[in-house]
Amino acid sequence: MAGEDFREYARLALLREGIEVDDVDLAVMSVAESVYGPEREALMAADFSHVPYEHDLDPSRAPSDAGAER
Amino acid sequence: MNAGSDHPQDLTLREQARAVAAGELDATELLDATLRRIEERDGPVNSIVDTFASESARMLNEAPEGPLHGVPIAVKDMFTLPWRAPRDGAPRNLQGFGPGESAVYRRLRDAGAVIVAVTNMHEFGAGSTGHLSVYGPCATPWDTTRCAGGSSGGSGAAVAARLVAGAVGTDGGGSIRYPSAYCGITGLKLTWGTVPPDGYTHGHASLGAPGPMCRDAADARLLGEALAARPLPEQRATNLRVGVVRTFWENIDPEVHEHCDLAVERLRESGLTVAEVELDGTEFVRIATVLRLGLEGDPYVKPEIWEEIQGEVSPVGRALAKYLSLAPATAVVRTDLVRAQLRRSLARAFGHVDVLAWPMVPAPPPPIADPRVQLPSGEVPADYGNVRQGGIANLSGVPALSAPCGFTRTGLPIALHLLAHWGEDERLLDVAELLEQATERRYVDAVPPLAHATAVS
Repeated sequence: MAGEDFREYARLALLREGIEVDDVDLAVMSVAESVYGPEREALMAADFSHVPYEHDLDPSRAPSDAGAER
Repeated sequence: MNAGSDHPQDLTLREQARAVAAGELDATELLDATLRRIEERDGPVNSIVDTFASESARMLNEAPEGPLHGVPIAVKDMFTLPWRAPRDGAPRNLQGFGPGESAVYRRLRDAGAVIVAVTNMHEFGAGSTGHLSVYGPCATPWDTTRCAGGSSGGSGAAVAARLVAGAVGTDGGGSIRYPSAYCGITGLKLTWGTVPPDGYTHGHASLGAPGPMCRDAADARLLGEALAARPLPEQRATNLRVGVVRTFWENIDPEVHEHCDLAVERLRESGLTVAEVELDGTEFVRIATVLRLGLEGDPYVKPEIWEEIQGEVSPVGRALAKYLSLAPATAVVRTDLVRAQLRRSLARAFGHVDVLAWPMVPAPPPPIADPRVQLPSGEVPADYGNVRQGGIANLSGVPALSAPCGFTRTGLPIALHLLAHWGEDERLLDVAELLEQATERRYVDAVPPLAHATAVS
């Protein structure tokens, strides 16, 4: 989503949550969307069906199901 | 020590600790000299936001014998201290933390250290540049018109300017490592969970971890041991294997690329084995880091505090908070799968190599007035370029280090990024020390113009 479409979406979506936006907000958000929007859309479109969820995620150690001993 | 200087802050952290322990350096004089140097030198970099001479003196009087006995340390504005609430580079912290004993405070105190100052940081920790802060922008001492990095920019700049020899930063998306790269110092993000989260404003997050920021790896080891409350034993690194992940060498400023290539070559010449490694899921590192970093803290924000201070928050910070709230929930859920993929892929890679290496940041520090960087693909916001390089260590939890490895033709620092297996933080320090030796310490001992000018005056 880009340009006026994004600005209108952002304004209405935030208004629905009771969050007001001004022109500065919309300008900054538009830049952010132009930078990060394509990668977010690629993330949404990616096929993760082959990636098992890590049910016991503990960032302090290696995954228990990595399939590699050290 | 600088030629022409006998100031104790021109000593390394370990030299200060040794001299105090041996009775060759009076700890009270060291504290006083540190406070004077901050007063005299910090203006152009704006790295220090608070000093508290009486509380520091009390800490010194009560300091136990320990590896950092009597040594001044600065801490980022994200930790509770008994006499001060953190502000997160903003008018107030959003979680409602008051004064208290954070784990970082306790570990420094128990090591005998003296907390001498609180350092500047990017507003709410939400940026890799340090140019947005309620205290004003923070500059790298290598060029005070350019960013110190973020979010731990003050800690990086304070060490580089030789205001203190050691500072504590935090790293939720690269926030220790970017300012270390921009300021030409050594910064280590410890393995996630090494330091307990209490009293850390982002302690709720699954990405953030504190760590040491010092001039070189030996100092980072000393301060890192105090923070980790465990030894980080030194081991000669020459039998280790380095993995080069080419994805993270793409779209890099040519000078940065060249110096990082040379650094890896120096490691190879020093006896390390170098091999190419591939990782899965790297294309989503940036967006997954941004989404998780931006949203994990949301449930911990007290709405009444946000209401109270939002008028004083920077317009950019306020707008980005609103922007992140637009993220679809399904995108956030997908970041869990990105993490799972990256973590498994890293675990497999560390079955074949001991450390991974690539450029820490894709380009040198950008101007404070316009924090964008020029990459081969074009001009981008510095955050956009940086987070691709650093976010993987936060998504996965592994330790990661920024090691100085060169300078641009205009005298700006360049750094190599090193990552190791969970819990093998000391391997990163071993490799960084080997790199220092292989480059004859010319990058870790370099003195920025600002520090040099006042050191010899």
